[in-house]
Amino acid sequence: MIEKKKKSKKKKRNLKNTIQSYLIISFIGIVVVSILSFSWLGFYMTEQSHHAFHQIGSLFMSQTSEQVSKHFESVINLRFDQVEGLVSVVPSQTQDLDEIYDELVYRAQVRGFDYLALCSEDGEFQTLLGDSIHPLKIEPFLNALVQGDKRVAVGEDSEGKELVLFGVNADYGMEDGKQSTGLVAAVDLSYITDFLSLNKPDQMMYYCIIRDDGSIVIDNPEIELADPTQFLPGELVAAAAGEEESPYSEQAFLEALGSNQSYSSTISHDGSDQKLYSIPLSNSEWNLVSVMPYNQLNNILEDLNHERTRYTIISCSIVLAFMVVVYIGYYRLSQEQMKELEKSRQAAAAANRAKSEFLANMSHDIRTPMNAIVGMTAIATAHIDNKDQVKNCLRKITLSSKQLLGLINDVLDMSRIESGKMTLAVEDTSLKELVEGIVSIMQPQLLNKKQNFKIDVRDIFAENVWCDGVRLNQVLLNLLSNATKYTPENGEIQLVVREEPSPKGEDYVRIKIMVKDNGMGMTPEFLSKIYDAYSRADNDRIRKVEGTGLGMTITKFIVDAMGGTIDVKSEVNRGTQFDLTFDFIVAPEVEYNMVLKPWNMLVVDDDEFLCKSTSDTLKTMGIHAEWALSGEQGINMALQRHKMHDDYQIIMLDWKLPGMNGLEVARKLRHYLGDDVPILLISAYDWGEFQEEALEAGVSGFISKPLFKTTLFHALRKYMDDEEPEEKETQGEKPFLGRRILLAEDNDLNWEVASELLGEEGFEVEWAEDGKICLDKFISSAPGYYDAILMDLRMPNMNGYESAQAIRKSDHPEAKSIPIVAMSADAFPEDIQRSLDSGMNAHVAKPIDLDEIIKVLLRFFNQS
Amino acid sequence: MNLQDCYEKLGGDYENVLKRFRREKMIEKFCFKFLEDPSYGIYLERMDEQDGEEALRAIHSLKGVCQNLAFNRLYAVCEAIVADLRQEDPAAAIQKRGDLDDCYRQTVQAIQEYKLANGK
Repeated sequence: MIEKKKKSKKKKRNLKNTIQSYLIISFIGIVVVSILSFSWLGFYMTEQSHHAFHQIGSLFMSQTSEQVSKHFESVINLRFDQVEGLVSVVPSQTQDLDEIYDELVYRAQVRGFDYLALCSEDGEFQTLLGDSIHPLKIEPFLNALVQGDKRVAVGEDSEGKELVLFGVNADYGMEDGKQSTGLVAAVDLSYITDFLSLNKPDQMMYYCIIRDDGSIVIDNPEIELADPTQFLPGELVAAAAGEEESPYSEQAFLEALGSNQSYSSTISHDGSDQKLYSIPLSNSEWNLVSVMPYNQLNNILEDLNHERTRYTIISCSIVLAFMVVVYIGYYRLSQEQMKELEKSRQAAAAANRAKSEFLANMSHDIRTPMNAIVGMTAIATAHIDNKDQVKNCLRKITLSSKQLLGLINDVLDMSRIESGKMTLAVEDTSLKELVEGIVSIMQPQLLNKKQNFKIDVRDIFAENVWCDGVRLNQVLLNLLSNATKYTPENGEIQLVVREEPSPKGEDYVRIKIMVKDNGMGMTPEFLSKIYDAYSRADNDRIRKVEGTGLGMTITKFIVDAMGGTIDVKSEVNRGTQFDLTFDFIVAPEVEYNMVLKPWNMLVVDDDEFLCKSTSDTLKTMGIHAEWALSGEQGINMALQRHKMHDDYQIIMLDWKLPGMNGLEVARKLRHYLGDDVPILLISAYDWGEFQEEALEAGVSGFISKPLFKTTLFHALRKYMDDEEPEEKETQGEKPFLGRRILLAEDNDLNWEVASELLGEEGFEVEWAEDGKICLDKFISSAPGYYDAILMDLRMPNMNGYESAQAIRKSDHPEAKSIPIVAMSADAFPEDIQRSLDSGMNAHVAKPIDLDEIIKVLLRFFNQS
Repeated sequence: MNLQDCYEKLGGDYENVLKRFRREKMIEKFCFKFLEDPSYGIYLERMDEQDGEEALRAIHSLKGVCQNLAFNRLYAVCEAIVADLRQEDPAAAIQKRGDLDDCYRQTVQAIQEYKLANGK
């Protein structure tokens, strides 16, 4: 056992460790996976944003550069238009050169040119306005003019000031007699730089203009160049040349310049990336080069990356923290579950243990009476001729059989309760008969143990109630037999039945029953599980006492099913008290006019409550009762009356009185009062044993406790010469003469028995051989013809249930009102319920008992 | 042999039946009537025909008669068979056939002996 427990504990610990390590490993796994995936996401996003940035940069640059080149073209074209306009308005055919020159100068000034010169085919310049000017690279300029094109170029004046030259083809006479190839007008270089906003600082992009061979036309101080005359990306990228990733190639750049194509690439300078873009400008050998350093963008990008990394880490931490919470929660939950599992396992084990203990007890409890039966049978067989011994054996066999039967009944009841099949058969029950029955059953046991049994019935006015009398009987017998079992010899056992108004209404009555003993009592621990099945006051003291331990469970179940309550108070070695409370419906009583002659009466009992309640009851019957609490007092009171010649007309004495007992008191009373006054002895004991002695002492008769109203009425009436009318009623007359009953019964013999018995009471009985005939007879009868129907349940063609249903559904005026009483050998509560469900009013079990049938029929006849 | 002896012989409860029927004449009348009751024969026939429902009704009828006449011994056997048939266990009912036959024979014998002894 201990080994097993250890194993189970070890197993439990192993399971716990497995769960723990599983949780830890999976948590670490999730942390690693989360970190990896978040890092990868960060890295990937950075790469992607770099890429996107580059793409956006390229697009932005190409767009911007194209715009700038268009702007350049329009700015340049504006000036060309002016110069061409100049040429078109000043005719070249005029002979007077001065006039032409003046005209040209004048118009050039008007158009805002600072310089004007004519240029010959061989490159000589004749200055017309301003200082002398010449282009920095003259050949391409001249070639274009000779070919009739217009050309823009950068030049210098004599002071070295940089100018923009606009040359168009023009044929004017020069001073040296030659003919000019072109007319060249110039403005300050700032015209282009300002206009194109090339040299403004703090821009995202820097522009410069270079020629096709890479030489600088207009530089930009923001672009650092090794040689201020030459745009050499080769040098620019020298630092990055070693990096294979740099997509720039000088050759490709120069080729693009030479072939008037745009070029885009990334170059590296001083470790920072720059975007390079070039686009050819029209009417020149120039190219607009834009450079965009990524530094600034990179900073933003870096900031963005940092921000993203930070948020990634934060969100990763939040996710992980949440996971931790979830894991801890889950861990706790699983721990709880384990505990619950363990608890229910233990509960199941305990229940199992209780059942096996119960079985062990049962087998012992069954074996004991069984052994007695077998043994006694053997003894009886061996001494078959010895009548006394055989009788003795049979007596013992009977006792053991009863004990065995009780055990089996308990177990069957329990199994009914556990399968939910126990139902109550509620019927008109007489409390008087019930308590009287209990008293007579308990008497032998009580006498056997010489226990003092007190029974007290107080203020019971509704003697008949609707309840399951058999089950209530079972409850009381169980409580009382427990009380005798656990109370030592000469102990005291008390049964008190009281009646109170019920809170449920006028139709109800509250019945309170107390069963009290001064026996061994119960410990609080046992008391807490007294109603648990399969438990028994497991104490050495009571090992000797037989029983299944189911009695209290069954009792509790029955009390609950009846809607009652049961309370128990107990103290070890002091005794136990059970209090039962029920609210029952009051059954209509057969109306008796319970009034007696207005006699004077004396009640002698040591129980004041009994005296009071008895005298109250007697008063309702018209008797004037006085009481005495002891024999001596009773004798004194009787003597006083005797002296005044006003004797009590009847005296009731308790058998057990303190000091002088009832018999002695009776003897003395007889001595003083003579033979006329009836003296009645009241007792809860079987008076058979002391009957002779009592009669000798002068007792006239006996009344057995409990003292219900009807008990008193019937007992006292005998002494008032009042009996005759009733005798006449029951024997002489036939009280039910003229009442007609339809009896459905398929068995010939049973029908005859019922018919004879009922016939003696004056009933006229008609026979229906089955349910169908019964239905037909009823339907075809005149209203009021039958007073009631008695219905067997099991019949051919149509059974009793069907027949009753059909009758209730029929069109007959009394279909709903005619009393139908089931009369059957099927007397299980289910059968009774089924007969009530099918429309019958009551159920009487076979064998046919006339009293029982009349009692039930009276109920309906009285109602109607 | 008086009626009480007859009841003792057939395992009945004379006091019970007397309490209910009130007069010995009544008891006697119905005991003789019992000899004519067909339920036992019907039960055997229906069981041979394997008609459980009708057999149940017949044995139930016999049970009711025994209950009325307080033939407790025969009643006990009938009740057991009724329980078997109600639970649709004809095999168990067939097993009790021997008991039923014995009890029935004893009952009939006791009544017939009484009849002879009293010249009725």
